[in-house]
Amino acid sequence: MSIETAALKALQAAVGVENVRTDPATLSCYAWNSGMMPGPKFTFFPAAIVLPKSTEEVAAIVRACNANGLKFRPLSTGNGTFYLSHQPNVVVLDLVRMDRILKIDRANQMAVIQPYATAGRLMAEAMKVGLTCHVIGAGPGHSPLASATSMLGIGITGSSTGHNARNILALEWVTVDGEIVRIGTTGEDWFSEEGPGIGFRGMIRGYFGAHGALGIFTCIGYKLYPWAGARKLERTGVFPQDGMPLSENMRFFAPVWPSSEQVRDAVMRLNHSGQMFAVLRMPPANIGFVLTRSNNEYRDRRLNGTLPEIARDESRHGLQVLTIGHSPAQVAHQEKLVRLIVEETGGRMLALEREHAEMLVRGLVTSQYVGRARTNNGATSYGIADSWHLWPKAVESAEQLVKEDLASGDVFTEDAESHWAWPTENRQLWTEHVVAVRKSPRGGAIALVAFLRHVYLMQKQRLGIASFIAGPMIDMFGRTMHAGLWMRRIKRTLDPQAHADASMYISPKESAAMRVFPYVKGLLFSRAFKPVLLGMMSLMGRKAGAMKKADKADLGSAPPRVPESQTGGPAVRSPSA
Amino acid sequence: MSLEDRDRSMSDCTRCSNCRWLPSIDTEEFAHVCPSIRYGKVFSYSGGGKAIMGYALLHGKIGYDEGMLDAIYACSACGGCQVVCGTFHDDMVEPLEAIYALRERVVQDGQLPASLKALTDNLRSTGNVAGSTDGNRGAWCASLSRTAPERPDMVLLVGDAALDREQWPQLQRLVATLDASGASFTIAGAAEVDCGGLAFEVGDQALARTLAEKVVALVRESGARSILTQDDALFAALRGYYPRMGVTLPVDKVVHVTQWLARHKPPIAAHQGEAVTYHDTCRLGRLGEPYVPWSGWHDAAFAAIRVRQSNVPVLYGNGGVYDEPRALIAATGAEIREMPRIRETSFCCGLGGGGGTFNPEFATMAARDRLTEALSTGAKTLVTSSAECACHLRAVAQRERLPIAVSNLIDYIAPVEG
Repeated sequence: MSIETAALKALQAAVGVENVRTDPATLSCYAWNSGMMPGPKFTFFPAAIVLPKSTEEVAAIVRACNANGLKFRPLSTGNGTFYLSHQPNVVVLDLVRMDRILKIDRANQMAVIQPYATAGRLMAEAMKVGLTCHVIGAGPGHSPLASATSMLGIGITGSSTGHNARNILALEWVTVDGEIVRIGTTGEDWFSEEGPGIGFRGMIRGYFGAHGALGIFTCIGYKLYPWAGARKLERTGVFPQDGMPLSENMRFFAPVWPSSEQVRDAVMRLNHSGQMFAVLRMPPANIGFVLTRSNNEYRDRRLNGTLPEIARDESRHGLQVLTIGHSPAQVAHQEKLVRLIVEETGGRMLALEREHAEMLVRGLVTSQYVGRARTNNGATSYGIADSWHLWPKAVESAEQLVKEDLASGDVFTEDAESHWAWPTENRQLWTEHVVAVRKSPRGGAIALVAFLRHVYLMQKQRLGIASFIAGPMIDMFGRTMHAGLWMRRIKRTLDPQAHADASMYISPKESAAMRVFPYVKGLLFSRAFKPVLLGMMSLMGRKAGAMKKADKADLGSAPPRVPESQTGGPAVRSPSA
Repeated sequence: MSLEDRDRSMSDCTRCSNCRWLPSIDTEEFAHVCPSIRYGKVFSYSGGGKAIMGYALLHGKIGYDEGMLDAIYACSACGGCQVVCGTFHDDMVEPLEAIYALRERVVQDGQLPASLKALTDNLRSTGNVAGSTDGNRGAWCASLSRTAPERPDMVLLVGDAALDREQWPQLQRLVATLDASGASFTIAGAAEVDCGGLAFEVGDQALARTLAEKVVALVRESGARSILTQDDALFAALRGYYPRMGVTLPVDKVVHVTQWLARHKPPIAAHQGEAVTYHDTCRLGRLGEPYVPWSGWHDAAFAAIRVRQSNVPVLYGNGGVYDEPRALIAATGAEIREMPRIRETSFCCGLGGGGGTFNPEFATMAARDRLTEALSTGAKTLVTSSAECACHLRAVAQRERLPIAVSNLIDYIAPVEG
């Protein structure tokens, strides 16, 4: 998409010639579909990539876009495809030059950060003064500002570091008109009657985040939490399997139970205590991906039965629990508490090798290893957010959902399901069902259909809030309580001219297809219709040209699922790198 | 491996951006692992960005332009992206291999930037990158009065140090040290040729292969069972690039001088209590890891788990040389103050891979970043195993008036004569 000269000059005037890129090679890296979404690898190249250095430059870019009929879309560290524009004429603001941690205020337990300050960098600095920050599952490379202001904000330290939506203490917002608005407090630089508690930040953020569709956030005051661990996370283990030493005030537990109901009961009691640093249900296979150096090693050890117990399927009703005490008395109390709850709910503690415990603890503190869940071929992730009382139902519905696909040999999960789950704010349940699929149009279609059917079934069966509802999904599934309608009203009110790219938010106008959707979804997601849906999605994948000749070997009917003891072998082949 | 061969793995890039950061971050300021994107800022400079550009080029979505070539070559091909990507994605993407393949395509398409083309032209015409017509690689050792054993265990290859008069005394001291500690070796001397490492790195694999075959011939001629070298770039070429090109050396192993010295403990200098920091060069470190070539398929174990058909291990840089240089420094009595970015995730100085020649501004930025990191440790001296990296870092330190000395390891540990 070439950009008009006048628009280019306006952008260059805003940030300098050297900070505007329009060469196709650079643009291609901002048009990349990493595969989390259906469709081709490239659809719409942005009109330009612009690199502002300040909030004022961001505002100037927004005004330049508005004056020249361009949409805009901000991008911070960028993980996956949530930055991807699904329409032409979009200017991407890569906020890489706004990467500073402006302040860490130890006394007031807060930081002031720019969009490209990563969680890993913030955490390292915060720990030096006895504080830590919330980290989402994307890991230490993500932007806390983007997470807190614009997307979801759930992380596995949620027991102690909350939900990112509630970690915002101050907000600098460039509206879709290019106005700079500051709310909340940074402690010294600005104060606003829109304080750190309730306020209209909820409207401009919402639950899932607006992904820049309501303006651009350029700075936040960000809540930090007490950290009683070491001031620096020393490394143990052999790279890349870094661990961290457990300090004297840390306790790490790996309890397992016979059933999901017992896990639920235990987590609700652990939540109630308010004493947990992190509680995580990680599927055993994903633990196995962390504790082995490669997929080949995982495969071999799974086949020969040498995986540690925590990484075996029989430990699937298990948790990882980390406590950190601020005094010897608290440490003793926490240890006693966890052991008592596990015992009274019918669980037992797994024994772990120190090396494994140290790796898992590093993962709990930094989310460093969450990414290894995606060492496989294709994958999808879907889940629910509500109270922990729904955990057994989440497990059951996931089991039902993948049952047929497991039988077809296209999908890998644990024996039955593969949920990641953790509590947030000592109460909420968050689950992500991470399903690995074969890398093929059929595999991709299975992932997508599983995702859609899951959301549909959740609503039908009243299984809480679906965890990933964005973009067109809001229209498809956000109608139940009219929330989607109100999100559209917000978008129309704040951005009547639709200046900000809303590919991942609700579009200002409802499409005809979406108006029909409520009436056909019952049929569309029925079990009988599933093969048709799969065929449609496969066709979409093939038409997109995203798959290459080499994948065609995968296009036929999938081989029957072979008993695991006979596999590890080449049921399906794809060419090596 | 060609761009076509990398098609699938390039398409698998999730654009997670992890290829730019250390997986384990100790400090805000020194969190980058990739000097290229630290310099270029836009995503095309990252390992993942280069994989995406490679895919786009292969599928006709983009053509060549100045910005693309800058992103490709303002990069030292240091491999930091690959070890970090592997941390999260196993061998799913392997961005460094994408960089090699992309550069090879650039050369095949006749798009190699002029400054780098001059180097490969020099190599073709004179056998050395500088284009020196006085390319006698034996001059440095001509005055040495030593007799090589009839059946030496090792053959010493010294790389381009043979053409740099300033490095001759260091080489001569090295030979004396080796002789004094009973090493059985011969010196390739005048028979030595360029190893082809730089040609491989900039993408001229045809030239690299030709040169590599000459190296194979001279090593075979020497009768030695091991190759010994003090040159980090040469070390990486022999252990990493040759296997990638399918070139097999007629020796059991390739040994870096630091490995040999650490094992045989010759007399070395005393630097009692001196605060130094050690810079792991990427060529001795992660790129010095022996590369194990493999071909075949990725299978889908248990329906969807991506595994290599063969059990060739995924590499994370662990097989590089990290401990021996530190042992030698420690033996001098110096106190090593480690930087945040060390060993497998060391931060490159920006010189190698043609990066320093193509874009000096990039190389200066990378060196400045590294020197600032060294200063943050409180060290007065930065020691490194590569004479070339030391020279580059020293020049930047002096130009920018950074209060730190830079020393080549072989010089640092050499006993004071007299």
